[in-house]
Amino acid sequence: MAADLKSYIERVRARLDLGTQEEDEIVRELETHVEERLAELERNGLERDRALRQMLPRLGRPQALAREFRQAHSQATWHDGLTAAAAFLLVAALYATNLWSYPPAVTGVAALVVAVTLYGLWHRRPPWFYPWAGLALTLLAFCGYFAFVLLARAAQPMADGQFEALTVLGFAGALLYMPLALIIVASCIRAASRRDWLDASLMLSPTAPVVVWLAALHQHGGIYEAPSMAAADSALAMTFVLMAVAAALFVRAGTRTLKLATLIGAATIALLAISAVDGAQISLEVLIARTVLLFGFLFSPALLDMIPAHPFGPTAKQD
Amino acid sequence: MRDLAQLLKGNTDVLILSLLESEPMYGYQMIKELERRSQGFFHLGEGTLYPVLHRLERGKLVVGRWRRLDGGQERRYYSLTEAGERRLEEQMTAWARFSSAVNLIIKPA
Repeated sequence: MAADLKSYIERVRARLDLGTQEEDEIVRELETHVEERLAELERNGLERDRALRQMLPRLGRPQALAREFRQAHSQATWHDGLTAAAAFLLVAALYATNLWSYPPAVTGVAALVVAVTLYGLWHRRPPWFYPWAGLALTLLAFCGYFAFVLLARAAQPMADGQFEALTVLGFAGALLYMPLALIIVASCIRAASRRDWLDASLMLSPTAPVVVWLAALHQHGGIYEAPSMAAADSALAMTFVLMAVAAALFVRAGTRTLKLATLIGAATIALLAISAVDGAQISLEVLIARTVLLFGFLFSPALLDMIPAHPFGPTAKQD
Repeated sequence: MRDLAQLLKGNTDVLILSLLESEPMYGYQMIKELERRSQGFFHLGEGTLYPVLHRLERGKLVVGRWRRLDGGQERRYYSLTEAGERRLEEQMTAWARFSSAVNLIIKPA
């Protein structure tokens, strides 16, 4: 049973994701509390094993306890909320001004997004981090689109029996990119979910409208047909403005219920945006299918959260 | 019981600050003291108490300090800061006004 206590404490620590000193303080305080409580139960005639069995459930799930501590140690300010919103406002500006088709502007924004994301990682993922990380992930979607185009262009000559080295290399590289990008995205979702699946969902929120916009771009003839995308660009810019508001509210929200409500609001905005970017009239069936797909995608981290880290481990039953 | 739990949740801060008004206390002592003073009515779980204490400490309303006892055992004692005393006074005034208003309605003279 002592192993169970050690395992419990370690599981709390693993999910705290705070600075080492803060984690040490929390663990030390929990351990002294448990020892004191156990000593009292033993004085009352309980064996240590039974006392521990009685004690541990009172502390709650390690995941929930760690989340409470983390929230206590990382209360977000309006400054955090605005920093989170800035990520989506940046994208809104890029689309509103049609600068997304101007490579230096796109490169500058991409470099800024990556730099801010790395800065956030270095500072142990502060409250404003996830919208920026989500944008960094959408860069993978952009690269995925270019890989798709490369794949389609290389496939034709190869089907005709032309196997030039550059074509084969491009084809292989594009083919390899897809699973690699998916692994990176899955790892990021998993890492974010370990802290809180709501954060992971916020991180995923910019992906859906951007992917739909890329599909619309492809339908309109690709990146060289930028002027014909004006309506879709405006819709996407407006979506990101509304999502910026949702991100600021999410970061500032004091309770998980409020955060969840904000996320549902953001998802609804994304759904409307998808319809606006698409432009065409859609049937009820298509709308329902899109709703299920979008909400399923956005809230998939909640499913990951339900899967224990070590499903067959000896302590899985506690989590 | 769910209503009572909600009521406790909404007033956890003022209860904890009140406990610390008389003397510095450590977590386990607070749980026991709260049960004793409320004659068993309030029971604060460890999973609730410590995160709240840390939140209050981040808000500079309480301050925690480790003390080593004679037997070598360590405890983290929390005490009110000046800001915590002011907050407690505000919350007690608000509570007194609220409860007297409620009493005027549910127990009319």
